[in-house]
Amino acid sequence: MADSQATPNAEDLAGSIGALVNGVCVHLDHLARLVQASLRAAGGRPLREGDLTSVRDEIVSTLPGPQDYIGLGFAAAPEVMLDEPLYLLWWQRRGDQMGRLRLNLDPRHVDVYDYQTMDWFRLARDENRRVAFGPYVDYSGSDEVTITVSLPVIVDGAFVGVVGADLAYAEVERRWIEVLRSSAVDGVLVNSERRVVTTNSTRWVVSQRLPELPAVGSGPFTDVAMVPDGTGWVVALANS
Amino acid sequence: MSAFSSLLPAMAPTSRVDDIVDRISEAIHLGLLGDGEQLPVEPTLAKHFGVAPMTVREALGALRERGLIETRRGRTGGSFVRIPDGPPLDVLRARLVGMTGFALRDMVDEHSAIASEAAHLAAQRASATNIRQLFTYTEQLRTAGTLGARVRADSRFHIELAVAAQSERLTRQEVRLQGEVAGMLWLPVGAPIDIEGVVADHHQIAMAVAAEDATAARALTEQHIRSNLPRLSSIRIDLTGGVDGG
Repeated sequence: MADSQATPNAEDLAGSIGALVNGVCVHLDHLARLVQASLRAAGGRPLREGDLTSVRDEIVSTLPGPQDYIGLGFAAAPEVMLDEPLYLLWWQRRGDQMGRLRLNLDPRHVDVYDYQTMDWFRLARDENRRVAFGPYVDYSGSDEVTITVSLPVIVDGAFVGVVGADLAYAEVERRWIEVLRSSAVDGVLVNSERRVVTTNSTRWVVSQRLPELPAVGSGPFTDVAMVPDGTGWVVALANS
Repeated sequence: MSAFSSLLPAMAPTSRVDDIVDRISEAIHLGLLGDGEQLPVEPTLAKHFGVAPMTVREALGALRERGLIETRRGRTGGSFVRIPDGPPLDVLRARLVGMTGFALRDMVDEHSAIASEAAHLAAQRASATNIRQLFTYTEQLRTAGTLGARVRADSRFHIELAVAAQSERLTRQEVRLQGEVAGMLWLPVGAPIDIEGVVADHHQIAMAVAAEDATAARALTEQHIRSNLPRLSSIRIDLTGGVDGG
């Protein structure tokens, strides 16, 4: 029994795992405040790109910092920008190179990248909460396996868009697996879509969708804790 | 003669130019590069493809000739994507006629292997976003007004299946295969293609993925891709001509 007392429980692990997204959200909160300030300064008229200079400067200065950031930006709700139904102010990083993401945002076009249908945008808007979406193959954007963390921007009760950060799964998974490895029992990190994000065991496969979100007593799980970062992700432990 | 020479052919410099031209023009026809999108500068492209800047310059020249990119000079200059109205029919016809029946069958075999496995995995792993996209591309195919839009909606559906499988590798393979197959499949030659039938297939596959029914998703996709072989073979035979009559 000495072993099981020394090993962290699901809540301990979830706390360590949540630190990462909570850190990202400090950046995103700051970015959201700059978007809010830009909108307030415009006094209710639709924005032009020039109104978002402070947001762009913040993106460009923050993105090169954290090792795991591969994208950072703002996606506007319709009607927020003048003459642009869809508008992305999103920057990407690859190695030490940085560039603005340019996608087809013309809603009349068959190839339109309509981010309003993407969960990182849709869930932040509809459920007014933080979202961590992924890991997914981002072939429209980074072309890498990505986790996108996002949160809604609200001005005077109105939803005006989403700020988000694209994280390189390769970087963050390394850190999360270190956390899970501190457990002596089989553990799995599951996203809010009940898909496996990472695990310290071979009994689950990354990206596999579990039949249901883990709960104590269902399936093999003996200890389950919500990751305390507002994303709805879960750490679950199972006895071998 | 060892197997080495046939399995590991040397890369000729000209084939590298062609490779880059093919990859960029396929990405344009599939809509992965948007209209007006700026391509990275030559040194960046050279680094990306792992070739000399001279090779990239030649490839960009060929793309310019085909009208797929436009180069502007000056401070805001660079190479920009130009999306053509439809797929390059002459190129596609020539490519299909140039293939043997063996090569055609082999291509469909490979596509079937990749696409069926992607569908099988997608049913186990798709996100809600992936599933919505599958239905969106199905609807786009149904309502597409031009050949170009139809080819893109068809391709994007199959690429989304690989994305829904959460596989970077299968996605890359599917993008390459779509570049090869999609345009040829929709060539306006011979019997008109049964658009409603293709839409119904896509719809059924999307339903199986949404229902998390991996077995059905695989079987439906395999059947769907296999049906490309008779279509492609008959177009090729039509285009090859030969003795008239019969």
